[in-house]
Amino acid sequence: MFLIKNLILFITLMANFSLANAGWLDLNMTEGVTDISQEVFGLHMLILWICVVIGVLVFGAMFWSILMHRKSKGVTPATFHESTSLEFLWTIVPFVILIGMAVPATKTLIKMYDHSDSEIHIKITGYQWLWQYEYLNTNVSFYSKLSTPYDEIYNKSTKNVNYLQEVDKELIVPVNKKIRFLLTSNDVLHAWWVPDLALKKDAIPGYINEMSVVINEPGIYRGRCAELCGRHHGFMPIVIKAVEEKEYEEWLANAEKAKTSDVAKINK
Amino acid sequence: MSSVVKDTHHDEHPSGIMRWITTTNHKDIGTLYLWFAMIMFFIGGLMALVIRSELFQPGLQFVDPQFFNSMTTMHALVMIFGVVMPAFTGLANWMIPIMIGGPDMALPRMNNWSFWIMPFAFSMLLSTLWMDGGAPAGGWTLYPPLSLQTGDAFPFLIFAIHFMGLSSIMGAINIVATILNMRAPGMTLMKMPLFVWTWLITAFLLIAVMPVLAGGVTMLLTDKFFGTSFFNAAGGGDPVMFQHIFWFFGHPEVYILILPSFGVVSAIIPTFARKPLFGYSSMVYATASIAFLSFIVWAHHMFTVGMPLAGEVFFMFATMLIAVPTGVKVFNWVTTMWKGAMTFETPMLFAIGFIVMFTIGGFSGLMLAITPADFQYHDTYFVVAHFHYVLVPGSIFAIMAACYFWLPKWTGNMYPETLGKIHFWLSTFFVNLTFFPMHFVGLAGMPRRIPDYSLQFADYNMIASIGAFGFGFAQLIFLYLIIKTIKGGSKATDQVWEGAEGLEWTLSSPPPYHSFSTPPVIK
Amino acid sequence: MIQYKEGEIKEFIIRPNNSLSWKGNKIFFFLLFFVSFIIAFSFAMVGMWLIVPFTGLEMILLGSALTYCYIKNSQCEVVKIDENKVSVALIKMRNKKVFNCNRYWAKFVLNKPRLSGYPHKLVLRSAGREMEIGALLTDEERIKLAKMLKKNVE
Repeated sequence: MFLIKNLILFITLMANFSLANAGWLDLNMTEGVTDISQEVFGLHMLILWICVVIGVLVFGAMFWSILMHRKSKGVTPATFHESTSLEFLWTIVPFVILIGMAVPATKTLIKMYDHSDSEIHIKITGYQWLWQYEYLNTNVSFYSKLSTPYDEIYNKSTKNVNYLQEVDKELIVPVNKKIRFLLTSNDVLHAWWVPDLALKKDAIPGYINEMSVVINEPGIYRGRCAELCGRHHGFMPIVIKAVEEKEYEEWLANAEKAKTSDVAKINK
Repeated sequence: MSSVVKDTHHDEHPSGIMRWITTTNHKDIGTLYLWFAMIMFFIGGLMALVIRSELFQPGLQFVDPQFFNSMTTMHALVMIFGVVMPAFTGLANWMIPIMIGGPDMALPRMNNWSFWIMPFAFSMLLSTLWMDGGAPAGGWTLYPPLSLQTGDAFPFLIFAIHFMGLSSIMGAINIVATILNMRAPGMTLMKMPLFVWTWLITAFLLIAVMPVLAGGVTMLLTDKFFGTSFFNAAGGGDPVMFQHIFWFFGHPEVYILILPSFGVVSAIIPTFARKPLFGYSSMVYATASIAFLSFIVWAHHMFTVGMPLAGEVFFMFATMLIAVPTGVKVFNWVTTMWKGAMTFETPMLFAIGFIVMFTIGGFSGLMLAITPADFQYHDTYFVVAHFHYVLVPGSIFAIMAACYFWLPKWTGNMYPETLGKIHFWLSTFFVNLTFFPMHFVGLAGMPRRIPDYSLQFADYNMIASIGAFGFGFAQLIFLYLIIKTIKGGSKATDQVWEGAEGLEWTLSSPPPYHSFSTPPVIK
Repeated sequence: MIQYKEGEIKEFIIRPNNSLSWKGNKIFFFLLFFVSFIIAFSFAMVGMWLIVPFTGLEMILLGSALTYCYIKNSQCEVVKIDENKVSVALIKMRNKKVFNCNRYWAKFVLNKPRLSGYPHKLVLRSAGREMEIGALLTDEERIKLAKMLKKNVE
């Protein structure tokens, strides 16, 4: 009943608001832009559908019973209250289904834990409330923090389309190359999460966590801190820009040069 | 039996407020627990409404982000330790002695203490809202190092948790002693109602894990004030170890919050289906297996901390296994309804609502168990939707079902049925309106515990907020209905419900107030 | 539980029902004891030793609660009624207290509860003094006992 009610409400609300507003269609997990993120999406959909099927069967039986086996229909209640074979059946069947889900999940998990053959190594450090990126084996390192103006946050001006998911300096990485991220924190716990890359891991002081990714498509991917880290936890986004390898090389060379000249200036 | 022989006059029970302060009667204490839970339910609910108001639209409108974090933290602590646990303890106090045919709880005086600690603990916790540095804002999970950044409130928070823990341990020990030692002749363990069984197992879990929480929060305290480095990375400690400690307590705690509701639903469904509970013994074994599994799945709350692969795989498998005994329970309930002769009074509606929505929460729980997918779900609104589905239309609905089910027994009056049904339908509609859209925003990428969000999450957050206000106001009906039933109403029979079975229904629904006025004449 | 012996002297043995033996209590206690200490010591092994004292305190509380409960449930009251005497013996562990009174002055009174739904109270009243009987029984048992006793002292 309430499902139907909900549905009706959703439909009326959807009709009132404009469908063009993207929010209404953001119903599902992103497929992402890496092989692994697509596998994760596949796993998510697989288990979702399994749950839907089980749900339809169980709730179906229940609602059938609610409709047909009611006192007002003048039925006399049955008295059965035990059946070892039934109990056995509904212990074994879910167990088998679970194994069917565990196998592909484990396969994906093993792939996620394979950090070998990484070509680019980037160390990410969480601070209250910004991120630091260091390209290992180069001298490039910078901080990246929220660039949304306070006026927008405090409703004094209109919010732009990337409200709360824009930063002053984006993390720039190449596509089609294996990148390994090393993750730590300087103060409290943070978590570095970019949904499109299916990457999420905690940044923990005293620990270095690892994760790796190969991005298939160039583009700008946005993420957020996902572990409560204090007052501005909601205000430390992540923006990662994946570019073609050549563009990345150029950017890195320029960044290194700029850094060297900065250091030189200071040394003078 | 303290005073064997005493002078003649009646044993004057204190009246008024002193009656409630000094009472050792299990019914009085049960009532106290339930009212305490009710008050806390509205306080915690107000906090939720602060959260939902702020999240109604993107941007910061009403509260400071720090206060927002305090609200999420306090909302969780109040709802878990102040509402669900006391409510179930209250139900246990009221019903367990009656269900097993015992005279009272085994340790009546300790029962009194374990209740009266609670108001002190919660005054202490709520007083932190007015302290320098604000109330605790590091999340109810108290993860260091963030929780160590709490201001003056910190020691109050820790001692409040100690007192809550002490109260629940004393309650649990009392319940265990009662169930084991106070059963009537012939009430063997496998004849006990499932509510008693689930509470026995719950109490076992409580006793096993509460010291872990107490030790964990004490180590936080010594880290902050006495220079130890249990969790301080700079001093050679391990911040992740706190998470292990916390969730080693926390996961059994989750089942502490849900197992008694299984007992309640297992009492209600057969009553209104007029058919015995299907698979009584498998229900007992399923509950015991869930309890056992709860000790070996804690790290599924921490899939993203960077455990070794073997750990992730182990905790994924163990977590998925929980679906099996939980499934058995749901199948048993559905089969109990099958070919019954059902009627749909308010308790039955809440019980059916429980099964449906708890199962939805169970499904999302199963999805969360899949480690690779959990990396996408972890710490998002998907998780928020999941645990609210098992806690609100799960535990809270079961508590409400229990209240409607036993209220006629407690008060001797029937509650107004139509109003009860209105309460059910409004609650169900709004609870889904609140929490179902949270699945969507979670999958779309909205993290939990954020006071402000980017624009693509705006629409469903608005709906959730509308739902939350609706749900909150619908609960006023519940409050009104209970007060009305206590004050009067059509008289309930002893059996109250046509299909009711069990010792509690053979007792009279309270006879009218009658005092012993004429002193007897000695011959 | 009420045991009734007919005869010259009518004897009522009143005791609460102890539904679990002392051995059963011990098994339960040690089960929890081992589970809790395994947990506590496992954490102590990784440096988190502060859990152990809390587990210890809790086990002391649990142990004393179960013991207290068992002792409380082991006590019994013996009411003897003969031609001219009513005697009540309270036996608590090895302690025995006897209260005697003249049968003609003795009266069993069942006090109704002041508040609805609460237990009745059974007292033996004699010559201006009274004592409670059957406090550890359930309410139905107490009402039954009151009927039986009243019948016998009439």
